[in-house]
Order: sequence, then C-alpha cells, then structure tokens
Amino acid sequence: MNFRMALKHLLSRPFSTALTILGVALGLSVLGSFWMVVENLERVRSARSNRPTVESGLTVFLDSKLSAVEVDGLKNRLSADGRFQTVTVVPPDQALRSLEAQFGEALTKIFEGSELPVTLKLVFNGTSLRRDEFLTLQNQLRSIPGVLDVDDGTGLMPSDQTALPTRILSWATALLVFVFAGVALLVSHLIRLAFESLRGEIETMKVLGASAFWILRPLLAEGLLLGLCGAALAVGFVSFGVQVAIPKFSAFLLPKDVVINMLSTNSLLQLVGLALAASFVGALATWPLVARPPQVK
Amino acid sequence: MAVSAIVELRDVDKEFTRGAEKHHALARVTMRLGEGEFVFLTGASGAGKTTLMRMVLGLDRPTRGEVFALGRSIAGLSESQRRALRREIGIIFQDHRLIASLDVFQNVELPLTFMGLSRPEREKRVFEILETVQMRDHARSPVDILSAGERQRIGVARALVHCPKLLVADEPTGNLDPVTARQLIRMLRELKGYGTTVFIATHDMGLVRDFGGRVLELVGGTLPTVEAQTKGKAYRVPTFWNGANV
Repeated sequence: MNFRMALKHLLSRPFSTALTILGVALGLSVLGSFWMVVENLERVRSARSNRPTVESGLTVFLDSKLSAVEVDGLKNRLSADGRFQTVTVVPPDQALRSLEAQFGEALTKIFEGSELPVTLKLVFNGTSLRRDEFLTLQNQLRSIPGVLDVDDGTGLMPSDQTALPTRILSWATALLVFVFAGVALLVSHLIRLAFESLRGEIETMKVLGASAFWILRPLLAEGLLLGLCGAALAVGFVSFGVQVAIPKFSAFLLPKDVVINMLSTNSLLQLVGLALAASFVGALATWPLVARPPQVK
Repeated sequence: MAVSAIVELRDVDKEFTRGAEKHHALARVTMRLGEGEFVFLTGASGAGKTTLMRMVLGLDRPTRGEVFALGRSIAGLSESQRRALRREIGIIFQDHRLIASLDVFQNVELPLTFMGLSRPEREKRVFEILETVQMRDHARSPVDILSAGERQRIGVARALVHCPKLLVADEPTGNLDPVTARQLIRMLRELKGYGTTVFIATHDMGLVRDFGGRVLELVGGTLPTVEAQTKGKAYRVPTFWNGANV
C-alpha cells in the first residue's frame, strides 16, 4: 500500500517527478562514469604494472631461526604449488652478492655485520596472474609460520605509478560525497513538496492518531522509488555511453588497444545502493515535519 | 453513585498572545465527564468551545491547570503518547476531514490500521459500521463524489469503528440539513447505552433542546462550577427554546 500510494503521489506531479529523477540520474551518471574510468584505469594499470613484478617473481624472507630441514620443507611445499615454476633457496651470502651486483658496494655495507635472513626466490609459472590474486598470494605467503616478509619489488617501481590511484580515489570519494548530498537534497525537496501538497490529509491523520513512522512510510517509499528510477536511468545513460557514444569517438580519443569496459556488476549494485541510501536520507529529512504535533485549526 | 471521569479539566486557563495583546480563550474551566455521559458543549462563536475540545484531544496545552483524558494527564504526555491517546478517542470534525486520496473503506479503516488490527478484523468491522451508517454500497467509492451528508456519515463511521470510550464531536452537524443532523445526533445518543461518553460541541440549540442530556455552556471562556454542572438546572436548555419561532 505504501508503494502504491507513493507511486500515485509521484504520478500526480509528473513534471517535478521527472525533473527529480533526471537530476538524480545525471548525478549518478557522472559518478558512475568516473567510477568506470577508475575501474578501467585500474584494469590497465594492473595489467601493465603487474607484469614486471610477476616476471621478477617474489622474494620470501625467512626467519633465521628456521633449521635447514624446515627451510627445505617450506621450499618443497611451495614447489608443489602450480603457480610457481621454480623455488630456489638463496643463502645469506649469496643474497649479499646479489645485492652487491644490483646496488653496488655502498648499499651492501649497510648489511655488513648483521645477519641476512635466508630467502626463497619464487619464479612464477607464466605472467597471467591478476593483481588482486597477486596481492592475495603475498598475504597467504606472509601467513605461513617462519615467513618474515614477502617482497614483490613494487618498492622499486616509479612513485607516480603508485601515487596516481590515490589521487583518483580522493577525487572519487569527493565526487561520491557530492553526488550523495545532491541526490539526498533533490529527493528531500520533492518529498517536502509532496508533504506540503498532502499537508491537510497528513495533519488530519496525526489528529486521528497516526504514528510518525506510519506517516513517514509512504514518503520513504516515494524517496526509494525516486532513487531506484534515477539509478536505473543512470545505468542506462552510462551503458549508452559505453556502447554507443564511446565507440563512435574512440578512434579520435583513445589508443587502438584501449577498450573501455562497462562498470562491473558489483559497482553497478553499489551505484544503485548509493542512490537508494541517498534517497532514503533525503526522505528521512521530512521527519521533523512528520513528528511535530498536528497543525490543525 | 460516583462515575469514573473520562474527561476532567481542573482550573484550566488558555491564553493566546497576538502581538502585545493577550486573549483569554478559557478561564478557570473545571469540568468532568463521566463514563457513558451524553454532553453538549454550547456557547456563542468565540466562546472557547473548539479550544476546550482541542485541550481534551491533546492538540493544545493549557496555560494553567490540568487536563485529563481517559485517565491520563495530557501535560505529561509526549507527542507520540498524545497520538496514542487520540487513537482511543473517536473524533468527528465539522468538515468531516476525510482523506481524499483514500476511498470510503480506507478512510473508515484508518483508526483500526493505526491500532494495528489484522486485515480480516479490519474488514469485518469496517463493513459492519458502513452497514450501520447505510454506506456499505459506497465502500469502494472515492470520497470526493459523495454528498456532504454522506461524507459526514463516513466521518462518523470512522470515529466509531474502533469502539472508542470517548467520542468528541466539534460542530458535527454544522454542514448538515436538519433531518440528517437529527439522525446523526440520535445515533450518537444511542451510544450512551454502550458506555461511550459522547461530548458534542454545538451552537444548534434546537438539537440541544430535542435531545437533552447534560449541557455545558461556555460564556466568554468560562464554565459554571462542577456542582452547578451536575445539579443545577440553570444549564439545561432554556425553556424559551420551545421551537415556536426557531
């Protein structure tokens, strides 16, 4: 009954309802598009930056208290994992020589006198590991008893490759907050209009004893319907952009090998969730009007 | 035999301020309505009838004094508790105040919905009360196609559907023709037999004369003392209201 009443109210004000849905949809489309760009960037970045680290493999630092038998056991355990082509035990002196070869004598002097840990050098079987799988694997290795740390070589990557996502994420967060507030305000405005147009009826219901929540329910339903319609339209806009607009202009705008993918299902659901949450908050803003004593003469 | 008070006002004052001017709507009003009483509240326009009704319903707070309804002190109730109190009271408005976006059935069903009754129970009661006010055939009609008299009957059905212990009616016959008005008051008077206290504000002295009952007359925001209200005949309908030239 709440949704039926809400729908009836919304349809009784077609122009303002359509404008609000459009406003919500545009806000969400901007956020969705940005989100999509982030996802695609992450995919490309992952595909590119992943390669050197996967290719260079992983260095696993072991606890120096491990006995040779335990180190061998660990090596055999990891060798049995299909993802690794080779697992090599690197003794401390060999590790020091390797450091010397890589960074020169100046750096190796730092380690002089201190005991270097035994390390395992893991070489991957192919380079097809996704970034998230790669990070998960590192965490799994870190959780093995006797493993002190795992190094994937990202520390040696140029800083701009790691700094870029942080900047983008900050912008995404700011945009998310802005869109959330915008959607909440738009919905709140329309619900307040609905409240004003139904004021006489609502105040009578209060006199008859309707609880504040009972009155609020259809207003919340109205907000959720607006959010849902706005989110659906936004998904339509973004989808249209990916499938029709971008392919038309991609020849001028993007390199040939770059393909823009649609938002993942997960992100789409998050976008709809965001719209519903913002609409809910917007509708909830009418609470003071609903909870105040009846204003009847 | 002492009757338990359904409504009680003790030394109630109500002042309204308009700019620097203070207006006394009610002054030291003390009254008591017992269970199953049928009481008219009369008085000229502006005498404070509606203000007194609003106090009883918890829509206004007294400036001084205490108001009790159904055994509860209005002053000590929160807004949600006042709404809960009003759920137990039947309310009839002069302008019926039906909800235009709901049909006849849904309008009458409202108090039962607020009380959380099950759907089958609501349906049973609503159809029965619509039968009583001879509006069952209009159950699914929108309210805006009904005549003023029909709407008022729906308003009455809505006020009675939850069997309230107290029925408050503010000028319920104001928009009705004399015949319908009498039918309505006759029906309300019958409720007395079921233990319902009926409190009607009206300035239609013809009705008061025809239906008798206890009469409280507000004059400039004041009422006679409780003793006078219960014992005194001075506040019965005046004898000159014999209908000769009314």
